[in-house]
Amino acid sequence: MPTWVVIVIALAIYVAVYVLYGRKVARDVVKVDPTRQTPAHRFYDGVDYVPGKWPVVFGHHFASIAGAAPIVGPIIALAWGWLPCILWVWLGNAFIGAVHDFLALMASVRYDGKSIQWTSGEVMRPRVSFIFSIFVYLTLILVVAAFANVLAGIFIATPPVATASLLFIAVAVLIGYLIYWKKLNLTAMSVLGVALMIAAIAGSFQIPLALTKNIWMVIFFVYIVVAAALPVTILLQPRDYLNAYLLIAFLVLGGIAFLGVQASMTWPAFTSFSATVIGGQPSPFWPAVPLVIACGALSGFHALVGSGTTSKMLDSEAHALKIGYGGMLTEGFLSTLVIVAVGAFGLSVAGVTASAVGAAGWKALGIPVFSQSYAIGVNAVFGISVAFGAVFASLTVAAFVLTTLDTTNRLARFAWSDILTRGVRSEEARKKPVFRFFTNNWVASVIPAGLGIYLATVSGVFSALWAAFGGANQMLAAIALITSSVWAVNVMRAGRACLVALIPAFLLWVTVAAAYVWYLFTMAGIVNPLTLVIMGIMLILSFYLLYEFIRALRKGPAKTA
Amino acid sequence: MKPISFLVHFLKDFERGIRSRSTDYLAYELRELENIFSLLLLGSLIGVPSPPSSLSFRLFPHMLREIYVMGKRTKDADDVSGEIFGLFAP
Repeated sequence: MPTWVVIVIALAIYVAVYVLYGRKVARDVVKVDPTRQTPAHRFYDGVDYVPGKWPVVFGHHFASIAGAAPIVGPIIALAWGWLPCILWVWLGNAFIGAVHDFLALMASVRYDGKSIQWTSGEVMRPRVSFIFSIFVYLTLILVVAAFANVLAGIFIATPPVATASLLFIAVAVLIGYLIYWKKLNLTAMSVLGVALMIAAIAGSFQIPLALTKNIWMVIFFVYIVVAAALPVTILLQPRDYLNAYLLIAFLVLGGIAFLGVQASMTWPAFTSFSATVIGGQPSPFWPAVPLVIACGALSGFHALVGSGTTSKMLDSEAHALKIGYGGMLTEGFLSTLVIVAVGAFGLSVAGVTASAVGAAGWKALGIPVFSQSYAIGVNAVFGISVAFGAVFASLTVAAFVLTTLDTTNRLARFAWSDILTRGVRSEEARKKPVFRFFTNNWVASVIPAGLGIYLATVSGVFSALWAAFGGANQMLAAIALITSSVWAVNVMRAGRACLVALIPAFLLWVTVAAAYVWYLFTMAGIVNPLTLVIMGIMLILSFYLLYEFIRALRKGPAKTA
Repeated sequence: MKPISFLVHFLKDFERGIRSRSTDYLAYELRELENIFSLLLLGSLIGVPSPPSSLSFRLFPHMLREIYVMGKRTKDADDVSGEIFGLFAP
């Protein structure tokens, strides 16, 4: 099938579900009322609550939810064939992910901009919010582990990307220094930053940095702890600023290239129901698919973003559908581009035939294959050299992963202190040296970084660790959707219309719980026991949250927003 | 608005939104510094011995916005993690 046909079908589906389904959810479940003031207006202070034009809020929201995960997941999942992958992305987007993001955003809007975590305590019981925090903390450890593994894989497979990434960090620090300390012109520094990024990519071929995985892991550990402790103006903010240009260039070049390129899908549409996807083991598409394709189809972190900051910027309730529902569809479109790129060029880039891959049990292709495929598409339309395009694509993924690693550690440090403070209520106990030791900033930072890097180092099979992260993310999404469902049933009292939230919430929970059970049995002896312990705890917590969900539904309407 | 004009405006605003995401960190840090400064100025009203209460009272009319923001922050104090997670989205 020609690639442009796949992309046109994707666009048609996204427009159709947005108009026909998204608007129905907005009208019947949330009862969107453009005349009702949003928190940004009700609590306007020019500081925390500020309404923004919807395209600006959309861009802000999209930059917050987009990262490396919608790229990495589909590449691995292609082992099942491009058709089931793309169907999971499209259907997952339309009926679960986008509904999840939209409801979390609107629940927050109706609760004065409070987070989904807070809402879970409000619509169920306060202890649910605490369990939510523990769940998020465990997820963050797995994020560090999975993304450190992804980054090491990219750096080892393509050493120039390692050089370009380190140079990119140096460029970010330099630009931050020139802007904040030397007070030089922002526009001039932005141009300089972009020019230096291009020079970094071009120069990376001259000095490729080839190190072993263990050495990279030590570097990552030091980087995570130090980067998470630095003031944001030194590294995080200038790098995020430059990342914005990377993301825009990546989307514009890729979007136009794969709409215009003359190519066909060469990867098989369907390979096997039990392809060799996770941990080198035959992995059934159901229930294992959400362990692999996480953010491309749906993501629990989106609920945290939507309810944490986006809800405080919303100018009108009428914009929520565009931003919450539309933002998820846009991210799904990014995953669609990834599937199309690797589906069209993956086999030729890897230098294999479909039958050879089939004979090996349909194993997943790696991220470098995606970068090369992306570069071929961009080369065909824009004439940019394949080598440059491949490093550019890998650098974009690596830049997102690096940001993910240090922001995750900042979050984990905060979540750790939050859990301990909420868990230990006695003032006497809080004064004890052991409590003060564990809530110390450096200790709180070293624990998740150490555990994550340890798991990344000892877990030999990349896809197994990725699946652990994917499962945690998807269960987080199930919990957020459960919270939104209870809100829709008990607070919005939307009647039968609530089924659009209840059914996906329940199906997602069942699918991910089944995937957890499959993972725990199949991966025993393959991944580090600590990974299994973390997933086991999360499975138990998710059963408890399901109990709270059912309890809240049986209790019926009680509170109003 | 004509489609082309709409698209151009949309892309400009979208790009602005993407860039503004990176300045959130600075805005957050600035807000916290403002918060600390406000607390220092009004410290005598909550038991901190400096500056003198008379000075704090004289500053009151000029700090309406800061006092309003601090009051709302107190209301949101049971959901600090929400803002942090929104800010440092992984």
